[in-house]
Amino acid sequence: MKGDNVVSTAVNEPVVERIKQKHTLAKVLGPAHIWALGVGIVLVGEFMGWNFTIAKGGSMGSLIACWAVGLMYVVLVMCNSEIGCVMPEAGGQYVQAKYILGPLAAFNVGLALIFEYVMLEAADALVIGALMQTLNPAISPIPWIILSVAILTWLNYRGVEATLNINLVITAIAYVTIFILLFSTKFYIPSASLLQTKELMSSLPYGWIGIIAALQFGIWYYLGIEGAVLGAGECRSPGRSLPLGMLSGVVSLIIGATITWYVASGLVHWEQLGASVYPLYDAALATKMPFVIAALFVGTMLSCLASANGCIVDSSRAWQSMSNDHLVPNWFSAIHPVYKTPYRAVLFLVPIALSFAFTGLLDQVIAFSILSALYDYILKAIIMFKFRQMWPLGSVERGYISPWHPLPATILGILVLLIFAGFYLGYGINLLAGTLFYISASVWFEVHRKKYVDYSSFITTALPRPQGY
Amino acid sequence: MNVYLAMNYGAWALSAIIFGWLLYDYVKTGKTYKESELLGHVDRDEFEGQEG
Repeated sequence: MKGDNVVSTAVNEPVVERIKQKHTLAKVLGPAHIWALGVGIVLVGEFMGWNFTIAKGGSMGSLIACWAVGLMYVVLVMCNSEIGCVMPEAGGQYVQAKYILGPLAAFNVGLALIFEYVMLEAADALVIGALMQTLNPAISPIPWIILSVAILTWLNYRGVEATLNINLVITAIAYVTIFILLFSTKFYIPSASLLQTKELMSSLPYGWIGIIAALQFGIWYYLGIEGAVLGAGECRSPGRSLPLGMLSGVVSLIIGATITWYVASGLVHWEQLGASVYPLYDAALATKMPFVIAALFVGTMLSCLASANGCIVDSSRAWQSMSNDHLVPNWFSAIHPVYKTPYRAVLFLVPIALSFAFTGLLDQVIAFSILSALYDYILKAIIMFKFRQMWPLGSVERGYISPWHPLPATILGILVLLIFAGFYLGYGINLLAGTLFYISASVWFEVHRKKYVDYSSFITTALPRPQGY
Repeated sequence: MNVYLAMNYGAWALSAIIFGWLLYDYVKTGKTYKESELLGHVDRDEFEGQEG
């Protein structure tokens, strides 16, 4: 492609500066935007999908999975924040892999990130279509799937600040609806409470193995929070915004997940809950209160929109970063001269998301999203160990220092391996197919694409030379 | 006409308008700006032209 022929230039500073200024992403994001980006992507997990943990592990198994996976995300965010502050470029984990592990790992992390978010976007669009159909069977889900993707693509094409401001509002509204459901049960007055925890909950119907099996769906409570680091390149102050936005985000999610589990488990019998498509909406129906039912319908819809919106932001930034480094054709790295967005990357990913959404195979789409995330997380644990080896404390300025290293990265690695085991129990074929896909992509990269990587411009941030090099 | 069918047609129409606008802006941007400006690379022609 044309863009692959990078022009090496003699220096004419005014021309270079003018073009550099035109080609940079706008730095407009603060901690609230990072919170909205992270929580916005994930919040949909409180409205659907998490309840399959109950089908595998019962009520208690679900709660253990919720907290165990919550711990995994706390340590993941700690690692992500420390490295993300040092490497403030759009691209997040991809950029981290690029600097610490090299081109092949960066290609795989970038690809895994893109599929994690594009599949999640497809799943969100699928649920929006299905939700619309609950209004009346005459409503076809397809035009609503397309419309939701079209509106969010348009927002992302027009600018990241407006996109994330809207995400902030709709995420906050969706989050509030969980509390509306909680308070509608009058849980604080035992005699009048609608929650029947003793009658409706179970302990561990399948024993301890059920908890392992539940872990893969426990991911759904938090999947995507780590993507907030992809906004680093557009932060006004990454050293402050990333840790503040991401850690407050993961705490919000653990609180939201626990409330979700508590309310839904107290309103719907565990066997019914384990098979529900819209667990929180079903819980709202159990209250028989029209206002609460309407609120949860709106909350589910908004959480899907916020999630899909954040997914478009994250996947397009990852694709643009890979393109910038020639890991995929450089043509995709173009920045819109007016809106300052990676507009070709935004548009390119639309048909991929739509084609998966049209399949209607929600669980398969979700499974590929989770699997892609797991590959990303296991590499993240390795990246954290290597990062501390290459740039020990004091060798480079850190906006945030993850405490108790190497404990967080060790916990991360162990929990990811446990979730892989749970994934194998439930989706062994998907695990095999997904692994073959990433191996094939790696072979393609090594044989056909690696020769385009310009190593002189691959690493650009002014970091000190790593220890041992 | 059934209101729900009308909603379906409305969703189709709105999607077509949005994608139409995106296509229009994409083409207009491609025609207005040089590829080198969009990609952020220093264009040797522009550099040499200014120098001359």
